[in-house]
Amino acid sequence: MHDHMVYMDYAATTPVDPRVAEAMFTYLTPSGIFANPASSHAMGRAARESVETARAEIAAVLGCAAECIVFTSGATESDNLAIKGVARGMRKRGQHIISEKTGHKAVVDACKALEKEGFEVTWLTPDEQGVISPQQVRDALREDTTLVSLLHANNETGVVQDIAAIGEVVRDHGAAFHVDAAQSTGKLPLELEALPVDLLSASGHKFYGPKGIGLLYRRKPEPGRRIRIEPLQHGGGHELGLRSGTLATHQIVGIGRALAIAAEEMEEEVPRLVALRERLTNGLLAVGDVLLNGHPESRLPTIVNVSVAGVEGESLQLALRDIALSTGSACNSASGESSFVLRALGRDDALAGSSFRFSIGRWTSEGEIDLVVERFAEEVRRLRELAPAPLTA
Amino acid sequence: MKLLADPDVYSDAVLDRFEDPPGAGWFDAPDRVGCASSKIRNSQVCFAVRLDGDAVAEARFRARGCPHTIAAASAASEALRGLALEALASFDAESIVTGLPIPANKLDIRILIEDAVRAASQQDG
Repeated sequence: MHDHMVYMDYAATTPVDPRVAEAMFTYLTPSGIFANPASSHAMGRAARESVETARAEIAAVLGCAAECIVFTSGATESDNLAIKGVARGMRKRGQHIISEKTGHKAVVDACKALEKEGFEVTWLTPDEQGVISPQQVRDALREDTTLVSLLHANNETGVVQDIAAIGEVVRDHGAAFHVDAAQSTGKLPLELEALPVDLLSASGHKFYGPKGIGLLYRRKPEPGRRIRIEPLQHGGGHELGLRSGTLATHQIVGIGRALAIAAEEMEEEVPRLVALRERLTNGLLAVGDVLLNGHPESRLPTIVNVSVAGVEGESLQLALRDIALSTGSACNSASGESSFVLRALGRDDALAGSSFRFSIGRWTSEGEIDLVVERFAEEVRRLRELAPAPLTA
Repeated sequence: MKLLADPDVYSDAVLDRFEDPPGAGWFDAPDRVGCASSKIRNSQVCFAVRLDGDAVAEARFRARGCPHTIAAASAASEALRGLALEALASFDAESIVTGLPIPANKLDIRILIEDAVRAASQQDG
């Protein structure tokens, strides 16, 4: 069955790179380095050394010190730890947070949970291209703001925010700046020591590592600037007390190897992906009455999100079921609402509901792009011919 | 391809009608036409009816909507054949809904189909 499908959902998750899987295998079996990294015996020390080697590898790629990396179960946990941890830890200073309407659910829902605890959240709306300006953030900052939490790259549209410029604004104010970089880590270069970012979330499975492992970068305390994080889970005091729980050596080795490979290959891989993305974008738009969602240039090399006028989303998704992709269609969603991200960008319900995210990656070929464009054109044409005329978008 | 669709959501009958819907199309000069739409579902269904005396000789449809809407419109276009014109005003799509079947969270499709057929009973082409 899978032989017939084209995978265009790399933004949802990626397969584990075989080189990563091979590296991980060494840490699972009785003959491998399976011991608890917290154990003091030689086998434990060997596991701990592997964990710390991976941590150092990740830190080198992200341009920060190794002790700034805290391992978690994924970006959702990292987001929760950063947002709830900082808000609660800094509560004495203020109870105001700034985030965005178009954030990932992990960011939005963590902020909403804090609203129930009495925190106040200002929800920024990006412009029609999905961009949040530094001025918007400046205008929203208040004396009692302790945290600003935004996505680096939007998970639906791929739009990339100028976190350097926004971070400067936040830094001048004194609040903490958290960035969810689940979609951009391993795809865009990040030099965290040089960026005015205090906290950053990432997930291994978005860059060909395993699922179930992620990280939170936490900037080292600076004079006059100390960001207190209250941990979410207790017991054992692992990860400097920020994230208790036995360290998953194989997962940590996996995320380390995956990020190292992504960094090593970025110089060649990014131009290849950009060329594929443009080929895909041009092919989809050539069908006519197909609108690109999000900023045309400031976006990831891996995501193309379009709205298709004159067709209903679920039908096009079913017609294209030989392609694994994501849709903003509401037909079968529990909320009954089409993509809140696209509606926040000003798309009406019909266009938000007929939106499709094609996301490409390491194993996407030119032949697959051409096949997807051909199938898309064929099915859009068929469904439009089936529809009453004139078409109503 | 059929294997790739979720069988809990799409029955074979729905898939068959969605892929190659009997009754899809239009007449050059229909005797009756009727449409209904649902903004929430981004759907619209229209029927064109050709009469033979006071009875429906043939019906065709055009539809924009989810797969179940397209399948239901296709099934309705076949069910209309042979009905008396006056019966269209009280057309009951229940057997179409249960026959395909249409899932519980989409039962409003029945109203969409019935409204479009009712409109066709009242409007000249």
